[in-house]
Amino acid sequence: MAKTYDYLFKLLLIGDSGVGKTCLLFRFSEDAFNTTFISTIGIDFKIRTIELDGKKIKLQIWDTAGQERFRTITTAYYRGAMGIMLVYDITNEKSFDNIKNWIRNIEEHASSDVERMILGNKCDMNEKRQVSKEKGEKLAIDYGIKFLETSAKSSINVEEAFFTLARDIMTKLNRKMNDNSSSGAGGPVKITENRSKKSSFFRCTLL
Amino acid sequence: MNIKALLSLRRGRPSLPQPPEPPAAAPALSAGGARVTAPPKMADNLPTEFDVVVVGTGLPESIIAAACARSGQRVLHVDSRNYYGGNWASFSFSGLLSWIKENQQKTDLSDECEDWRKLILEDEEAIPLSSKDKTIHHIEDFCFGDQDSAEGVEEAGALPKLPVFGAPAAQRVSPGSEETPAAERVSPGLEKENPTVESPGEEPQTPEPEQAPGTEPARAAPGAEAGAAPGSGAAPSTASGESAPEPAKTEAAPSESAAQEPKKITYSQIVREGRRFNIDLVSKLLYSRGLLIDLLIKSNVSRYAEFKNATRVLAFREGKVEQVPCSRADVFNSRQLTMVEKRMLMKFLTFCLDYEQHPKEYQDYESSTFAQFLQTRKLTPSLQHFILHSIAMVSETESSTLQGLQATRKFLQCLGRYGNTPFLFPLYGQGEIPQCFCRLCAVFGGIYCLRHAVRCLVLDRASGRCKAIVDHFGQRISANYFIVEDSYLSESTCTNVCYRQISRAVLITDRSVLNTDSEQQVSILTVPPLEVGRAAVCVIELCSSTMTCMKDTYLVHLTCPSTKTAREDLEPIVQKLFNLNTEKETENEELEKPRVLWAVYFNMRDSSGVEKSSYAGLPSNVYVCSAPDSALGNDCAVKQAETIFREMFPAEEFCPPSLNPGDIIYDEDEIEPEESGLNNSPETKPESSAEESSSGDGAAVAKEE
Repeated sequence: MAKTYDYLFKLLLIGDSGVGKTCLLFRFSEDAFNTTFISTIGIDFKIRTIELDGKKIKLQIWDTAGQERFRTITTAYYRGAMGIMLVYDITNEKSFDNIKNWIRNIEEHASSDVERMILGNKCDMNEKRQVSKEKGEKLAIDYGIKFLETSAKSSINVEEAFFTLARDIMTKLNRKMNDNSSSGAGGPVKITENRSKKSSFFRCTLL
Repeated sequence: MNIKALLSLRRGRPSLPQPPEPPAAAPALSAGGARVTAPPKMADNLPTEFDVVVVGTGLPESIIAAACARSGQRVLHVDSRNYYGGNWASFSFSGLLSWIKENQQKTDLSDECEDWRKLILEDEEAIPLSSKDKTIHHIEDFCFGDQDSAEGVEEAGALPKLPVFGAPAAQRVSPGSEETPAAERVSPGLEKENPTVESPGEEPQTPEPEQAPGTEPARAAPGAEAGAAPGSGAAPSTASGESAPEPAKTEAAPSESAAQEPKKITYSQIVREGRRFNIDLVSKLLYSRGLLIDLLIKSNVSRYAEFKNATRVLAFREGKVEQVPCSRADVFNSRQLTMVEKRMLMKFLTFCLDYEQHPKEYQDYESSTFAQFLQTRKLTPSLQHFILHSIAMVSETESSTLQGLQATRKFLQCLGRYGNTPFLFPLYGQGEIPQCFCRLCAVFGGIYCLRHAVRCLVLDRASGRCKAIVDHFGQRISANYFIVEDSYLSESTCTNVCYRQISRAVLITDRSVLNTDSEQQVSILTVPPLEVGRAAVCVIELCSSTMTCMKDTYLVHLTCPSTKTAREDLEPIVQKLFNLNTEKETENEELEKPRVLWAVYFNMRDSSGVEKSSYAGLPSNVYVCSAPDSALGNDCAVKQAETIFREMFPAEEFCPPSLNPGDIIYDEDEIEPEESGLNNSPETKPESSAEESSSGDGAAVAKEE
């Protein structure tokens, strides 16, 4: 199986229930929008491969599986994430206020160099807006992270958001590779990987 | 498969007619885990009807929850603690300190309000559940460094453990109880820290460890008390801005002074870097062909976790730690074995692989012990030791020849699948594994509530079956099946139950028990019993690349079935392997041993092997899951989960591969989730992105044999 991509980035979506995380995910991965998912069920992650600077990047974007509802997101969800989209709903002030709580959560459980971005979703519903764009921008500046208002429904800024996050991860990665700080001690084992195709070889290593 | 998926989608999320808001009572147990930082948001009420309610988030419960949700059941999964995993959990350093403190205090909650009894109807009976965890005993923790230097030091990025999140909770908090922001408190520690490192003789601290009170200052750090500190008050920018540079500082400091000497890590560094620790309460490894690996692959749960190979198997013989050659390459490269020994060992191990084909070789010894059998096999004493203690890992005095042969074969069969030893260790600790199954459950609609205590099971007298639970809000939640972890059962249910105990020790040390060219080793060492009647002690040493301890430290887990308290069982071994002195003027021999920086001992109740019939008065639709056992692998938990699942749902498959993300169908018309309606779904074809969606990765490994 030849690899069909150069990089694999694990991204997460985080934010209160009902802010449109799953819709953003569907808009980006399927270019579809469906108002009828009540809550997130059955969605583990979605994949879309994009191209940046001639490199194929497979974005593996994870959804919360509804575990944000009672604040029971597993620590395992955060492991190995390279980028996190913090999503609030511009028509729901509380979801905006909770962004800083989610950021604290990320600080506790995700790796310290994870790339973050804040999205104010549902910007098509301007008439119901409770959070001004300036407020969103200010919060993002306070944390030193990027910000966009998006609409999964009207397909506004969704592509831009994911491409921006991916590009930021890429930039960080390139910088790291230039620093050449590789730790030589055998990487982790992903047991889904097809590691030991060598069933005959296996007996050899065995003894 | 698609049909199933659709059904589970439809059933998974019941529509929520909002019941009246329950009283915002404080949850009974305020556990110290570093897990989930916020209480359930109570405005969002729980549905009151499920198919299966699971109480406890340990490994077997989590597997069952996942299996049930996967087969389309509506699952509610609760835990009274604020972290996942129960006694299977892993903690950051501060989280572990809070856990220790909580278990030492053992607050008595007996005067608890029993208002829920009013909710029980006349034709019903309540089976109360226990509200306190009585599974941990004899906790003793010791710090071998200068603790004063750690006074006021906080874990970088540590969060107060209680109400943070959820607007209602945050508002209740009085402004006066605000904790000083982390960054401010760190600075005094920073200044003190270096002097204390370099002043060795000053405080001739005896190895006689200090008791709990001494560690008090450090413990206060994460705001473990219920009343302490809603983090929402602390400026977020402080936390993010100030804590970031710290790791850099602390890493820079030791590396300067460290030419050859192992880097000196202070207690305050451990506290500050506490987040880098993921300390398992139960210490296990995954056999690479064990039931848990098979289940992880089969169910696709393996996509949620990463693993690291155990890199070496060690033996402790004649006071020395040495590496056991166990793969073919190891044997050939071994410098400690003579050519003759290499041949003997290869010959014997090759025989063990298919010993059943050669019954003549061992049948005369079936009634002897494996140790006696080994003596007849032309093996040198060191080879016998390796095979008995490090490869078969069986008892010298009790295990029969057949048991020894089986164990040896199991070890050999696990070699080479993922690496040169038979074992894998999950990155970030064993505590990740139950959570991975919880995620699968959630993906299939399972609802999760932590900090959610269950007061009682409600028994229907007429049918003799359990029909509901009453939770700590007095809410009644009905279901058909109930899974309860043993520690939630009350004393009256367990009067006839005999429990075993596990002795555990966790040490943070400054170097490996066996230094080699690579610092990043994951080692397993079996120390034979020091006296007759004791059990062998399993020692697992983890390096920082397992993401369970900070750089330049090692995390050492010791485990054995208890004969006395954990400290009495394990301290003799710790003294043999490690240097417990803090001064520099120790004998040369001591200097070669790793120094212990911090240690904790505790006994954990082992409820594995308890028959269901020993529990008094449990209805047939209530199933009990046991706490972790003392064995190295996880087979016991997986077997139990599968057995319980099959009893409940004999016709269903146990954890079939979960769908690839692209295969899930979303029904456009979904309005009334209860109605089962594949037929009226306009769109039932799988989504087209299946090709890219990690399809078949798991299957590939599963088929590999």
